[in-house]
Amino acid sequence: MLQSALRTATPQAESLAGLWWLMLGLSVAVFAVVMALLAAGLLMPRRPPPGERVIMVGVGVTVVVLGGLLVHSTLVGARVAAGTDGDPLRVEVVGRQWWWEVRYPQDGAVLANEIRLPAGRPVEIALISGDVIHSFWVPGLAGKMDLVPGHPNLLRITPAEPGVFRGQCGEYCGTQHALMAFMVVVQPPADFARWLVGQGEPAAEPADGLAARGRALFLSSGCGACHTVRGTAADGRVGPDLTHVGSRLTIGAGILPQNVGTLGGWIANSQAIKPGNAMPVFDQFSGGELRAIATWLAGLE
Amino acid sequence: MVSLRDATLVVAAPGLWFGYFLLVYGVHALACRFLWPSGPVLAAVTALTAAALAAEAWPLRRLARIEPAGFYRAAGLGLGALSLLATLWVAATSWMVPPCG
Amino acid sequence: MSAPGESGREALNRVWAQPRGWRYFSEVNNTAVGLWYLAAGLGFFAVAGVLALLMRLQLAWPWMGFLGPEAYNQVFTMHGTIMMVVFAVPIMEAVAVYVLPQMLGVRDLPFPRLSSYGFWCYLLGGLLLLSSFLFGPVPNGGWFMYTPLSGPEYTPGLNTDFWLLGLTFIEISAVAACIELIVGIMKTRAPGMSLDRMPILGWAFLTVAVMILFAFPPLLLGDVLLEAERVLDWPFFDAGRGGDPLLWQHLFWFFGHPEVYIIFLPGAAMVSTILPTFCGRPLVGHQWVVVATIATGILSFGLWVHHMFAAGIPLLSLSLFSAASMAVAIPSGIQVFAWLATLWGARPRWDTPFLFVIGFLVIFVIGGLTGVMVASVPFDWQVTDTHFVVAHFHYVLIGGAIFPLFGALTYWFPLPSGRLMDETVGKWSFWLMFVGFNVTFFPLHVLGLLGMPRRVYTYPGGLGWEWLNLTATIGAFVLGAGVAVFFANLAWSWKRGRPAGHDPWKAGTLEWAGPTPLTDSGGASVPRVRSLHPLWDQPAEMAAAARGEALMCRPTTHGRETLRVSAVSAEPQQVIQVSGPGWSQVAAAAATAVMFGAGTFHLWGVAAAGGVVTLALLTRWAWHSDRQPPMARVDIGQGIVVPTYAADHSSHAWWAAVVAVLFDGAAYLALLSAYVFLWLVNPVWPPPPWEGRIALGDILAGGGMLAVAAVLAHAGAGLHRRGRHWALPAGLGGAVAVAVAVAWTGLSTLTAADLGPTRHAFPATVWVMALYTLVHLGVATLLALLVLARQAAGLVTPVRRMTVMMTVLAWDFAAFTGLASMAMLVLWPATGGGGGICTW
Repeated sequence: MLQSALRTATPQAESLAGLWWLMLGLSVAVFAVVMALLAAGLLMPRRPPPGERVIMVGVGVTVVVLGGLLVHSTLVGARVAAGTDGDPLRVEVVGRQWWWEVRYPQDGAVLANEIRLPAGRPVEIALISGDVIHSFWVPGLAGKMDLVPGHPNLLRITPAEPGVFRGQCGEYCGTQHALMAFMVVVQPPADFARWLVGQGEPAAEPADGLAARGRALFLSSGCGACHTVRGTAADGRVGPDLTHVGSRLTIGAGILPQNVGTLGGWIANSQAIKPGNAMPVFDQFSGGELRAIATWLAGLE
Repeated sequence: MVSLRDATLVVAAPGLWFGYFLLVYGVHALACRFLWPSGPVLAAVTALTAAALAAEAWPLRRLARIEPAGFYRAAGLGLGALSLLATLWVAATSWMVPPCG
Repeated sequence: MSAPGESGREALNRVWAQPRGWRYFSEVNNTAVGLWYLAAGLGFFAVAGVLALLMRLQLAWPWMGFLGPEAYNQVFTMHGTIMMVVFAVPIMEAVAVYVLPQMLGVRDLPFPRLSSYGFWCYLLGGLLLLSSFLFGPVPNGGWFMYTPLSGPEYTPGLNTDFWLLGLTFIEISAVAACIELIVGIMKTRAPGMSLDRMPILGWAFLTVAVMILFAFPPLLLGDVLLEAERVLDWPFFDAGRGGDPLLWQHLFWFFGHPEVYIIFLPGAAMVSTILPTFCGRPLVGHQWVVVATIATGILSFGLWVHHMFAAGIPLLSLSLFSAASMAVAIPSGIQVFAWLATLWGARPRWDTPFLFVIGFLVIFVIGGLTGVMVASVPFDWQVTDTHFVVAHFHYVLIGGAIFPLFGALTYWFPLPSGRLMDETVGKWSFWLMFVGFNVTFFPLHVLGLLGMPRRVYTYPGGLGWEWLNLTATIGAFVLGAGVAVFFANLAWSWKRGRPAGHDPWKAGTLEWAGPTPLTDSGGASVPRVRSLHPLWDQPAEMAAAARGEALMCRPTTHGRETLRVSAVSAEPQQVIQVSGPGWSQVAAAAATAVMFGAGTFHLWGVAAAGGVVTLALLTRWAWHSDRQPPMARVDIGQGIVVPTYAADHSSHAWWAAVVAVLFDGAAYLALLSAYVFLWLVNPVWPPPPWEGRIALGDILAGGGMLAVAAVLAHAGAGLHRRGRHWALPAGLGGAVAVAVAVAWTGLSTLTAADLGPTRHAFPATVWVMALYTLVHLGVATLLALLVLARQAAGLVTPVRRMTVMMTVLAWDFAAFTGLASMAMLVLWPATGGGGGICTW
C-alpha cells in the first residue's frame, strides 16, 4: 500500500480521498436504485408503460445530485490547488527519461529518485521536464501534475506526519515509463534539517582501501562523464548525481533497494534490469572490481 | 409544413452553448495573458447567452401551430433547457474558482 | 433499356444485380460494401483483441518476462489505435452503411461509389498501419501520440510515420462516411418519413456524422503538423523554438473526446432500436432520446481538456470542462430512464440481442458513474493515467458500444444471411463476455486507486497489485473466449442457421419490411411512411409495398436509382440515378495506398506518382458523375411525377459539396486556432526577427487578386446560367490566370522574405497557412479546368451545371480562407504588443 491514493499523509491527498469516498457512496446508491428499477421492470407482470413524466423525474434528480457534486468538487479543487499558508520549502524536480533529478536550490543539494520533506511545513515542488512529458505522482501526498517542456508547473503540498511513500511517473514517456519511480521520505523537521545539510556537502573520503580502490576505478573508467560526485573529478550531468547515493533507499529509479549487491549488479548489467536505460553495460569489470566500486558508492552517505 | 430553417432553430440551442463555452474559455485565456479583469466580461456574456436561450423558446411556439404532434417544439425546448443548464453550470464554476491560479 | 415484356420487379433485379465471382468486389451497393466493412472491422477487432490478451499476460504477475518494454509499448499503442480508429468508428459507419438505407426505406446511399472508395481506403489504411509489424517500426507513442515523445528527436524511426500516415489514410473513409451519412439521412428517406418519424438510429448517425465533420479535421491538421515537424523540422510542438507540446494535446483531444461519443451514440441507438422490438412497444420518450442524442453530440465538444487536467492548465479553465463533463451525463441519464420506462412491465422476450442490451445497461451505468467521478477535476488528478481510467473507459466503450454492437449483429444477422444466429451458442457467448468483462475490468478500478499507472509493461511486487492483476488476466481470457464463441456462431450460422423468414423479431422499422435475406434491389417498392413504426402501424400498406405496389417499383431511368426527398418533411423531390458496379474507386484507393505507403517510407518520388495517378483516377470518376438521364421527369407511381435532374441548393450533390467544404473549413479553423494558441504561449509574436518582413502592399495586392478570382468565377458561372456559353471559359479561365499570378507572387514574396520555417513555430505556421491557400487554389484550378473540358464535351450546360456550382464554391472557399489568413497575419499580431510581420 506504499503507493495507494487512499493512504494519505497530506491535507491535499486527504481531500481527494474524501471526495472518492463521497462519490463512491453516491455511485453505489445510484447503481442500486437503477438496478432495482431494472430488475423490477423486467420481472413485474405485464402492464402498460409509464408516461414520459418519469423520465423528467429521473432527470430532475440527476440534475440536483450532479449539480451538488459539481459545486463540491470545484471547491475541493480550489482548496487543494491553493495549498496551505506558511513559509514553503522549495524543491525542484526534473523529469528525465527515465529518472528524477531532485534539487534543493537553497541548499545546493542534488540527488536522484528520492525526495525528503519535513513534516508539517508547506512544500512547493517545481516540476520541470528535461526531455519529454512526464507526470509527477505520489498518490499518498497529492494528485498528478505533469512535467511539460516549456511549461514549468508548481505542486503545493503539506506533508502532515513522517512516513515513506512511493511515487511513479504518471504520463507515458517512452521505453522505461514503467520503471520510473521514486521514494518520498517525510521526516521530523530536525532529522530533515540534518539530512539536508549532509546532502549539500561534498562526498565523504573513502573509509578503507577497498572503497579507495572503488573510487579510483570509478574515476578511471569514465563513470564521471555521466555522473557527478561532488568533491571528485566526476562532474557528468547525464545521469544521477551520486554524491550521497549511499544514503538513498533505492537505485535504478525506485526499482531496487540500495546496497552493495544491487549497486554491483546494476553497474555490471543495468540493461538486463531496466532495458533501454541510458547506462551502458560494464561487463569488463571483474567481480572484485565491481565489489570495490559498489562498496565505495554504498559508503557515500 | 416544418421548414429546414425551423429544424435549424430546433437544434440551435446547443450550438449557442458551445459558442458560449468557447468564448468563456477564450476570454479567460486572454484575461490571464494580459491580466485583464475577466469577471464583468464573463457576467455579460453569460447573461446574453441565457437571454438568447430563453428568447429562443418564443419562435418555437409557432411550431406548435403547424405541427400538432409537438415533436419539433418539444425537441427545441428540451435542447434549450439542457443548454441553459449547461450554461449556468459553466458560469457557476467559473465564479467559484480564482482566475489564473 | 428494359427488355420487352419485362416486369418492374425483373427490371429492378436486373439493374441491381450484384456481379458474381471476383467482379463482386466492383460492387458499390450499400448491402455489399456494408458487409465488407463489417467483416474488415471485425477482423481488426480480433487483431486488437489478441494484442489486449498479450498485454494482460504480461501484466498477470510482477516482473513477467513475456513482453519486453519496447514490445509492450508497441502492443498497447496498436491496441488503442486499432480499437479506436480502425475498429470502433469504422464498424459503426459499417452498420450505418449496411442497415441505414434499408431502415430509411431507400435502395442505397446517395453516393455508392464514394462509400466504396471510403471502404477500400479504410481497409488499405488499416493494413498499412498493421504492416508496421512486418517492417519493424511499430508505432510506440501511445494512441494519443504525445509530442515531443513522438517527435523527431525522441522517436527518430518510422514508428510515428506509420501511425500518422495510416490514420490520415483511414480518415478519407471518415470523410466519405460523413458526407454519405449527412446527405443520405437528410435527403434520401422514404416519402413521408419526416424527421419526427425517423428512427433513433437515423438521428444517432446524423449526429455522429456532424460530429465527425468537426472532430476529425483538427486531428488531420495535427497529423500534418507533426509529420511536417518530423520530416521538415518545422517546430510546431518544440517548446525550444516557439512551439508547444500542449498544442498537440488540444488538437488531438478535440478529436479524441468527441470520438468516444461517436462510438457510444450509435451503440445507444442500437439499444433504442432493439429494446422496443423485444418489448413489443414503442420507445417511451422517443423525442427526449432524440434530444439526448443531439445534446450529447454537441456537449461532447466541450470536454476535450478533461484529458489534460494534470497538465498544469489554470484551474478555472479546468473547471469549465468539469462542468461540461458533468452536464453531458444528463442526456445519458435521459436515455437510461427512457429505456427503463420502456421495459417497465413489458415482459420482454429474452433472446440473445436483448441479453446484450441488458448487459449493456448494467455495464454502462457503472461506466457512466465512474465517468462522473473522473469529471471531477481534483479526483481526476489522482486517477488520470491509472488503471482506474482504463477500467472506466472500457466500461463505457465495451459496455456502451461492443455489447450493443454484438446485440445488433445478432439482431440484423438475418438481413444479409436470411438466417438466425444460434440462440444457445449466442447465450453462451453473452454470458462468457459479460462475466469475463467484469472480472477483467472491475479490479482495475481498485488497481488505479492503489497507485498502478497505465501503460506500464511491468511492476514490482509488494504494492498490493499482484492478485488483482492476475484476476484481470483470467477475466480477459474468459472475455476473449466469449468473443471467439460469438465469432464461431457468426461463421456457423451464416450457412447453417435456422431460416429467419419475414420479420423474425416482429420489429416495427422498415428494414424488416421485405423478405430475408434482402434482395439486391433492397425491396420491390418504396412505401409511403406515416408512422415511426410503419410495420406495426401500417401493416397492410407495408405488405403491399413488399409486393411491389408502392412507389418506384420499376427503374424509370433504366439504372439504379433512389429517391431524394425534402430534408425535413420528406416529400419526393427527385429520382437520383446512382452508380453501379465499376473499378474506378478500387483503382483510386490502390493509387492512394501507394501514395501513403511510399510516403510512410519517405519515398517521395513514388508517393508523388501515386498522388498523380490518384488525381487522374478521381478526375476520370468525376468526368462520369453529374449524370442527367434523358427523360426530364418520371412517374414513380401513385401519380407522383418528379424530375430526374436538379442543379439547385436542394440537390443531394450540392449538400455533399457543402458538407465537404464544412469539413475543410473545420480544418482551417483548427489551423487558425493553432495560430492563436501559439500566439498566446509565446511572449512576443511574431518574434523580433520576423517583424516587418513583408510589405503590407504585397499582402493587400495578393488579397485583392484572390477576391478578383472569386468574382470572375461567379460572374462567369452566373452569365453561363443565363445562356451565355462563352462566359464560363472567360470567367473560369480568368480566375485560373489570376490564381496562377497569386501563387507566383505569393511564393516569390515568401521566398524573398526568407522566413526560415525551421527556426521558429511562427514562420512555420505562416508557411502552412500560405500552403493551405496554394493547395486550395490548385484544387479550384483543377475543378475549373475539369468543368471547361466537360463543357467542351457537352457535359455542362446552363441546366446541367452542378459541377459549375461546386467549382464556384471551391473558388469562394479558397479566396475566403486566403483572405482570412492574410487578415490574421496583418492584424492579429498587432494586438500582441510587438510589431507585425508587415511593414506599414
